Amino acid sequence: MTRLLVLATAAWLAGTGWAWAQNGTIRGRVDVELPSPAVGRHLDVAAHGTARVRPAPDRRRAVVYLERAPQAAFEERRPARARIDQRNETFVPHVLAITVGTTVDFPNNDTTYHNVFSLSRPKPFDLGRYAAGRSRAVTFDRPGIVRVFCDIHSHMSAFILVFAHRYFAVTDDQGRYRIDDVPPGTYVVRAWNEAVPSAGREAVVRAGEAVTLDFVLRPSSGPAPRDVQP
Amino acid sequence: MPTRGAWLGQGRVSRGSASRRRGWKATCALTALLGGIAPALAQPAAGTRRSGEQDGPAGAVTPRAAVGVDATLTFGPADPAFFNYTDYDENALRLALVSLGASYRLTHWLEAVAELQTANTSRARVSALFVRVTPWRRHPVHLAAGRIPPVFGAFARSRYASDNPLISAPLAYQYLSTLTPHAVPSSADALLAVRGRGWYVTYPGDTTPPVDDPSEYDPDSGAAPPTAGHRGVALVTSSRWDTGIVARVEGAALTVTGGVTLGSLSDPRVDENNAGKQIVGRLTWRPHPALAVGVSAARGAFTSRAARGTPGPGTGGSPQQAAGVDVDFSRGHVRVRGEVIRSSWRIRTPLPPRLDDPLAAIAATLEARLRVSPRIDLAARGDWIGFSKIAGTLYGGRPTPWDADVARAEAGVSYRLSRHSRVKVAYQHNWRFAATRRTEGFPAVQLAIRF
Repeated sequence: MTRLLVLATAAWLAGTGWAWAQNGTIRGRVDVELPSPAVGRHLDVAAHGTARVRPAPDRRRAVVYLERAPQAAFEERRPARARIDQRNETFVPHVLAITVGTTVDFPNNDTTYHNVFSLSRPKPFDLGRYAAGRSRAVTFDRPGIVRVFCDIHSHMSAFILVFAHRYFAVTDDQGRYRIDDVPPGTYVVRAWNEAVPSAGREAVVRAGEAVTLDFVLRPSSGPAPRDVQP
Repeated sequence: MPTRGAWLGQGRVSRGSASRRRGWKATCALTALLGGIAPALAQPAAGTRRSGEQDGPAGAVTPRAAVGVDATLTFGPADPAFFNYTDYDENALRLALVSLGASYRLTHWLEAVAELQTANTSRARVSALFVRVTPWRRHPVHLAAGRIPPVFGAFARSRYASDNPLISAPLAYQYLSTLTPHAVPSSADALLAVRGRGWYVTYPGDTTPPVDDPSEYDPDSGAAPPTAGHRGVALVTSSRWDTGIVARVEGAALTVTGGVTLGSLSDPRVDENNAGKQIVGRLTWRPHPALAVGVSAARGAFTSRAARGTPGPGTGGSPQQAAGVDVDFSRGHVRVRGEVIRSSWRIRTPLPPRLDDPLAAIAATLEARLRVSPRIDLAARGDWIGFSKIAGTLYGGRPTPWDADVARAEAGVSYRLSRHSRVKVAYQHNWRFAATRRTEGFPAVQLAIRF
């Protein structure tokens, strides 16, 4: 009986916890040298009044991800749910990172109508106009960058990064990130931001260890985000 | 360990331009130039910020200045019956319109706005130039002064092609009647004699100078242009904005706007030509996010000083009065807009048979748009203008509309190339209920871009 218990415990550890303990972590910080735009591009000549002051999205958020991941990571398909709010004529969060197959809810928590849409190739969609308190959802079934807009309010935009694997993280308001449970190996880790070119660095992950990898994203630090190729 | 990429690369939409004629080429070049300027100006400034060096998010640093370019290139057949001509003598279906707008925020409560516009490569004109003032932070009260966006109606401020699912403008805002502010018909017969002609108007026996605008005359000889005549005007002229001052108060469901401007709805002026002012107001009620109902009214001086010089009693004054109701309903992928406008002009003719009652016209518009995919919209619009009846000696003395009633049906499809550019293809059919040129149909294609 004791032998059976030991064997069962060993099998469980091998399947879950032990495997996790054998993996490593990539963590660090992304500093984004975000340019201050000299001139805005949302001009409404036909309005009688000055534009209403509204909270601006945090454009310093970055997404850090493994450019290439273990093959097994692509076979994991966990149906997940995420959410982008519409508040004060702003998408919150401004940057969302998800895996393929995730369904994103777009609740309208504003006082006006919104019309969420995207023309991006991975997932073109148009949710139509819907009022406060209502929500509509979209399932993202192809990897890529999806730019989201409101058809009524031209100043509203958001980014959804859809990954084919789970090795990614969005930075917090201090620029910090952490990617856990990375199998040992050598990877190219890339940091992406909407306004400046992304940057890639190599990382060697060892079992049970954490690798610290900091990035500085500046206007000339690498190729443009859209040019990132697998 | 085998690996794979995180995602596939992103594609890009390529833009192309077609220009076959010389004028179009020049306009396309101007469009491209302005299109290049706007993004260039929007490039990063020299100074940058590190994420940890500021209190708030970097996105909160909003620039003081903003620029924007609107360009529409419209290709259509000739319009010999003048169904689509605007008050600047251009066919709206053969129009290359480029607008460059800019704003600069001096303080949080004061902003200056300007817009330059050129049509068919003509000399650029200042289409808007005003200041916006929001005096109190906590009260949604706004003031605007200068050459300002119009107050009346639903469509005049939505002149940009991006908000128009079709190509043409509603008849009330574009169709030129036989009424002109620059001349007074000598009698009811003089008005009936030109009914159904539109565009340039010359009343029988009229002796006032044919063209009011000095820029129309030959600069060397001083001769009048070959198409000499007075310009007929639309019920509401949307291609020229008002000049004056306007106040706007916004509430949760109600928005009230009122102002004093020069000229009248049919003939908005930058320089006064009749010492009259226009009082204009609008009330917008939004009982539900899906529905907006607007009520507008205006009263302004219509006839010019030159026309008042016409011999005869009581030719001064001549106000234009107008009232309108508009409804905007949208839900899901459907949007329906409708508007009814009634306008009247008090014209006192010097000779009999006289015009005892004000001349009136009623215009009705109903427009629907259906989005069938993220890129494709279908749209249709029905339009009609009816004119009040007057009696003279012509037409056997029977009461007859002082201008020929007009109707238009238009349907089209638009394809969105990118977020701010789309191609539209539409067909419109026009009916004029008069002896000549009763019907005309026009296909048209339009490229509309915003930078």
